[in-house]
Amino acid sequence: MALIVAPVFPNSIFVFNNVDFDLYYLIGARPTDGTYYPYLSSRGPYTQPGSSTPYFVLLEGFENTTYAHASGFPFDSPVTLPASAQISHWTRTLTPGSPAINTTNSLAQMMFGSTHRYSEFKFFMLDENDNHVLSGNIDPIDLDFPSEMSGFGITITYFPLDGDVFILFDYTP
Amino acid sequence: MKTNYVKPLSFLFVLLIFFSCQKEEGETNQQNLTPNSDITVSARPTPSEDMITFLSSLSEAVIIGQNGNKKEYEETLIKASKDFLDMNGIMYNKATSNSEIFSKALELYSQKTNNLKN
Repeated sequence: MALIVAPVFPNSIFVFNNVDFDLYYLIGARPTDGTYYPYLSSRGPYTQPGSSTPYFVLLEGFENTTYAHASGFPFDSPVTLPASAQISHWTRTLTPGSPAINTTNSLAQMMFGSTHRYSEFKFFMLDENDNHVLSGNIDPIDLDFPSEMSGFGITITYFPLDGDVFILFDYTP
Repeated sequence: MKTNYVKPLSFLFVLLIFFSCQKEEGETNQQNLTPNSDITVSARPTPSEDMITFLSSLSEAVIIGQNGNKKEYEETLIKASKDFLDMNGIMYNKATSNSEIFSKALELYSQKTNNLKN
């Protein structure tokens, strides 16, 4: 009898920002097997407040975007607008404590395309005056079951479905 | 002559408390510039009946999923999505994947929330 093991890494990542704040996030990836290393972080053009490293991409209020898993991980850009959600580079951290090495999308795709899976979603939100509203991390994201966290009138829900991942930021009912 | 140290010491003590309070206040004000708890989340736009139904079903699905029933979780999610799309006259092909249906429903929900806000 053949044992068929279905891959658990997601096909696509859907992000919905359904609140009136700017959502900044990064996507983390770890190997399909084993530990977190080499660990990959998406890199966007936006920095976290008080930081100088631009790891985050932007989804403004009521925007949504999709990263399609067309040719393996990592994703180089979202398949739906906005352009601000485009990931410019990936960084790879080889071992715990080692420095993050900046890697172009094409190189990351070539090196890690089919060996890495989506595993983390780190985010923060700012209001129109750039005040920090909330921040958090859904980690590990490769959960088989949904998860939910709430704070300051906002609920963040993680829905896995058919190998895809949906992340919804919404007002708390 | 016996020096009375009590009054100056009391005065110094009062001054110390005063400046200490001033510093704390200053620090608090500085923290008030960016703390999470001081940000007012704008009022949630009042959702329409179909949105409320959709959201309730999603919450129900999350609870089912968290209790470990993956199949029922997925079924609830898809049923909620199809009902929501049907209620709004949005067509979908029977061959459309669960993921696409859910994505369509969330997109519609997001659009409707935005419309309510405007």
